[in-house]
Amino acid sequence: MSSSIKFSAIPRRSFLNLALLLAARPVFSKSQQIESPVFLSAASDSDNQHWVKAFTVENEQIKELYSHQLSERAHAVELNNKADLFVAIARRPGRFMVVGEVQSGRILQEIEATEGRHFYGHGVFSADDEYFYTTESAYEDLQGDSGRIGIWRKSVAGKLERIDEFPSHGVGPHEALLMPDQETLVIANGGIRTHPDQEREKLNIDSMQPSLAYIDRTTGELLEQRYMPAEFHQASIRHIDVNAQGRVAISMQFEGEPFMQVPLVATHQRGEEIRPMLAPERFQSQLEQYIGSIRYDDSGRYIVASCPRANVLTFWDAESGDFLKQVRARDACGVCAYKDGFLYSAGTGQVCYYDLAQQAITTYVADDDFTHGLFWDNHLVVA
Amino acid sequence: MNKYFRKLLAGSILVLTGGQLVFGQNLITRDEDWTSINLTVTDELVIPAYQNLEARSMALVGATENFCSDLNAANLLVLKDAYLQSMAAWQAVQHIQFGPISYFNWNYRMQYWPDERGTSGRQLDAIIAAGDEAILSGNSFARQSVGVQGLPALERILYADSALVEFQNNDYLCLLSATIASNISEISSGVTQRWVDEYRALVQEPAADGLYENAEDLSIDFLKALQESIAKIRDLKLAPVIGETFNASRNRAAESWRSENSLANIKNNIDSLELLFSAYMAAFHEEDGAAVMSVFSELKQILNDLPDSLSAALESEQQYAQLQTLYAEVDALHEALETALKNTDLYLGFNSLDGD
Repeated sequence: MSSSIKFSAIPRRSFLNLALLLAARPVFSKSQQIESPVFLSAASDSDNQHWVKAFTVENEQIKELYSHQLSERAHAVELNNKADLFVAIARRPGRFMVVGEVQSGRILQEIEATEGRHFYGHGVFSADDEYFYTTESAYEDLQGDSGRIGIWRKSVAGKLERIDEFPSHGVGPHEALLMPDQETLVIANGGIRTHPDQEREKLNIDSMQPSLAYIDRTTGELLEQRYMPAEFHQASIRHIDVNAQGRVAISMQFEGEPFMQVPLVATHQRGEEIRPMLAPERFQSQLEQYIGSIRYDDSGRYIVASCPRANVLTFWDAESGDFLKQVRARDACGVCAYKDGFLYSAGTGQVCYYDLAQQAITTYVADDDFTHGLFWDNHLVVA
Repeated sequence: MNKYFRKLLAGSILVLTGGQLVFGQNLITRDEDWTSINLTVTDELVIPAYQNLEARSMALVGATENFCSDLNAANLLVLKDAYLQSMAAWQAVQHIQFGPISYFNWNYRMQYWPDERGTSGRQLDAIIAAGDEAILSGNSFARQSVGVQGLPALERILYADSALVEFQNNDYLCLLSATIASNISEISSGVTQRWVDEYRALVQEPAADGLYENAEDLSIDFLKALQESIAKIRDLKLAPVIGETFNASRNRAAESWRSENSLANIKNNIDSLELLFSAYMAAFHEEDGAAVMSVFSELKQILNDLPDSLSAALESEQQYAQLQTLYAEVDALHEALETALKNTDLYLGFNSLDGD
């Protein structure tokens, strides 16, 4: 059983524009081909246990496939390009990664961070799946650019082995992705310094300097770096997505005054300035200065940015830079492109599908009530 | 026990008898039952409290005009009293940080606190030194920094050491105070009007325009307001003031320390929060609800024995010990509510409390 809610509160002009734009999208999209998608996410439960969980969607129900208990909270689950391996990574300032098989859930490897490093919860595979890059902190460096990109290579035995690292050219690197050229990494340097001894305390809010850094994945050379304007230096660039044209979608979390009107979503194309995007004031002021995940839809034009503090999902047009609309979604954070829109998961345990063309939410009921007392963590990915 | 409290309790008991006592599941499962409580809260608590704030703010405007027409000590006392009443009215709705109060930065423009960097004082000093009357027009003033608007800004002016003399020597202070008071009044009216004209209809049909998923979603906003406000009292209003030891206590970290009204604020908060919790008793298991109410009762007893001023309460080690007890009791209230929530399926947030 599922429930659909249609929304009528969207400004009519935006509504019509979005419908027209969607009609012009390519009909064929990648995730439409998926017959038995495997969704993966970190999760916690009401007994304070932590998991990486996989589920599928069948007949508008979600069905648990497998579950692996973790010692602490993970943040994101990353997939290789063949989509047969997953890596669940500890959230900052955690120090573990777990590698497993997507289809079976079998755990292949448990990895501890290199001495003096902690993870930030994200990583990305090279196009040939031979290398894996993790965002890390050299946390004993309390003054300089302590961000690091850890380089892991797949061994003959198929295990990830750490071979090297290079600077992220900033502090607090968070999400990292591979650009369409397959040779450049784009890094969201959040700018915030943390130390494992001080739990999750942010140590440099007044002087933080977030940036978007493009780095050659082989040499570590910094190819381009972009900063937010000085007045927004407390807008921590955390999460990113990239479309086929190399336009990077950026989401931010603002550490400054709660009443300021600050862009929290932006896009960037190599060689240009960062283009911040603001929602109309009545929407922007409700976002509580915090975006969780950001993802493109399958067309690569529309962006969803989840705002768990404001309990909404916001939708944006990456081409025009326009805010399109928002929909209510309590505590929703994990999002991924799926069918004609997005699947999203929430801290309430809910998993819903949002159809961009129909502008309708379908709530998927969980088989065996497996989401009872379950809190889906920040990110959701589909294999 | 006031009439609202009695009515709310009666309503809660009625709904409770229809509930099913299974831990880890919601006792209220029907949307219309949530809506019924939400409407009671809106009609009996929220709207009357905002209407009271609106009335007190209008009185504040009148008292400012009265004082400025004849600058004397007696009129200043009347104005200060009007200020305290406006602050008391605000404290009764301070926990509601969603809905109309969140439009146009109204919440921060009504009260920018805590002001850890002393922004308000710096900016007020600057505009008083400049004496620029152009910024005092309605539209212009609304766009000024939140540091020069709202109740804390007015408190800073009215409770300056030699306020009367300063007012007598500087006409700009009257113009500025009148503007701040009018601005407070306009915000109060704006919020009240929107609750009456718009938000009440939303409470009645929360999913109609997609602003809420359903009535339970809206109820969670109220319960979150309750829990977050208790945490705010503990972590912002008390902890930085009490410090680790008697000698490390800091009265100036308190809300409303200039008007010596910090504990009066907390008393107002707790009264409002108790009424709000009472309204949602049916959502909790009977023993959990009773446990929370019992802590409320103990907390009110402790507050009853304390003065309105925190600086007065910080004068002796004996009183300081009472403040520590107060802190522990607010913490106990937070824990009792957390336990009560945990025994239901009502989750106030997971990702929303995260920072990654």
